[in-house]
Amino acid sequence: MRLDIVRVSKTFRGKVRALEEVSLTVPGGILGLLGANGAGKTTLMRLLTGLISPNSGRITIGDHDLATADGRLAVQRVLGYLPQDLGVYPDLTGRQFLDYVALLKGLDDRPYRRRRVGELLELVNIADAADRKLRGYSGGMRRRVGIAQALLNDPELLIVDEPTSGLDPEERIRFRTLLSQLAERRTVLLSTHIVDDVAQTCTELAVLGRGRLIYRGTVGDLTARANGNVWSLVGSGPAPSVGTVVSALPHDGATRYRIVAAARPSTDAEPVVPTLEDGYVLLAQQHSLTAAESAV
Amino acid sequence: MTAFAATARYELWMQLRKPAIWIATALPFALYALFAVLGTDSTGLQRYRYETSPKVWMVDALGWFTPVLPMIFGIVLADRLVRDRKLGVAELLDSTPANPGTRLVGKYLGACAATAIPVALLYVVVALGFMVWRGQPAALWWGLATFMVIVLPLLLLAGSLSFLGPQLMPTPLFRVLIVALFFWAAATEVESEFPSFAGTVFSLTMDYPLRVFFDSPNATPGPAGVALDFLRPRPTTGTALLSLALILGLAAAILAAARALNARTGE
Repeated sequence: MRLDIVRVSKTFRGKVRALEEVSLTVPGGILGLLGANGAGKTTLMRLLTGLISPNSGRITIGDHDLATADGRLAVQRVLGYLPQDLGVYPDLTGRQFLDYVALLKGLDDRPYRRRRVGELLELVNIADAADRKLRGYSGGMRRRVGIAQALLNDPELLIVDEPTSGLDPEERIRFRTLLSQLAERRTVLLSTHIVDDVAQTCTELAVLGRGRLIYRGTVGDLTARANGNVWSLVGSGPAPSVGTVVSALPHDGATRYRIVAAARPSTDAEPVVPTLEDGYVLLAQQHSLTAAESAV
Repeated sequence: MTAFAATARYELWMQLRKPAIWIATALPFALYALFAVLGTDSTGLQRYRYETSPKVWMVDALGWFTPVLPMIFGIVLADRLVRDRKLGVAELLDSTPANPGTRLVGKYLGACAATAIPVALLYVVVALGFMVWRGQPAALWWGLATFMVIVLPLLLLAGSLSFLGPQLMPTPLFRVLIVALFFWAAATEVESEFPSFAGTVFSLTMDYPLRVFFDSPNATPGPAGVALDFLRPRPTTGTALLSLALILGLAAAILAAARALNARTGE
């Protein structure tokens, strides 16, 4: 299912500009959407689900124009959505909550609905707790219920906003694998600020910064951008003030720093092979520099 | 239809499991029972010794509950709509293809039905009590009739207010205000110097239906020149039905406003 976002802007009451002239095309498969907190990712997700409308621009999903009520309804019929701040009814069990959402998604056939709910409870590994009240679920278990509800209607378009927050490492790996499998025959939009989630599941990504699209391309290209800009440096005392320190590990009584900087931060710094995180940090550096320059 | 039925069913289920609705409903009934058993000749069961009409028994019992029940309804229903946003469920439900208006009506009717169930059960207990004590099965019929004509419209009105009010103000403040509203409705009279809808077709103590259908001595027009006298037509079946229609219409209008406001909040 193809997504076309054309020059979309969204400003909330109080003149908070969340998105500005964002254009993006997703032909299918899985697309990672990266950005810092407040970059506009969640606003874009909510626009795509039809929960809010843009102030300007146009969004088309498949053949459906989201500006029309019919278009929104048609998209919502094939949509699976995991919101960033998913809440649940604490007085329902996991199974009841999924049954309720399934009914709202139009799964009228009772035997099929029950079977589907059971399958998804197994898939997200909470079948044992299915008949316990959601009040007693941990954050990770609730997140898994959220993932299960998003898949109830076997959606053609799956939009997941920060899906792995609150999941333990094993669950995170399971979910990332699941997302990749799901993307084989549907469109998946994975919004996150966890770079590793994108690195492990996506080949294509977009990056938002301050409400603008600042990158659209492959994971490999963004990673390659950081070639020659990532350094390893061992030192003691305060952290280097040049560039951005990506990691700091204890090393023989000193600290080994991994630094993203356009120029060698010191003479004893060694260049290292970049990762996607390095590419993302460099992009963020360049973008904030551009923003600062344009402000001057 | 599926979305309506599903929302109504699950809302009913969740609301019924709230201990608050059972406790809040049981309290006035417990007080009623206490007064009935321990009361004097003028306040206890003894005053019914020479009264043979089951209609009078049930209307008299209703007189205890009418001012209190809408306050309870308002208090226990006040969180039903706003809690979807507080819990973070609203965004997920709004992203489903289920019509938001249909869901809201389902939620409203489900929550109201759940709130009505404890009242209905305890009301049946009162009617059964009279039936057994005086050997008059008609007490059950009059209990049902007063419940349908008086209690249910008040519940629907209090329910719609509870779907609108907490969107405009903090829920605790709304709870105080709805208690004040129905207290004002019950405490003021036609001749009160305080402005009042008492004895009008808009009466929140259901004066016209009580007078016309159940021979309660309310809904008497005030002396000439009393404010809002034009809202106190002669009590007839027509004006009693008009009063019922106005209360139900008001409930529907308030619910529509709640729906419109809820849709705006979602944006």
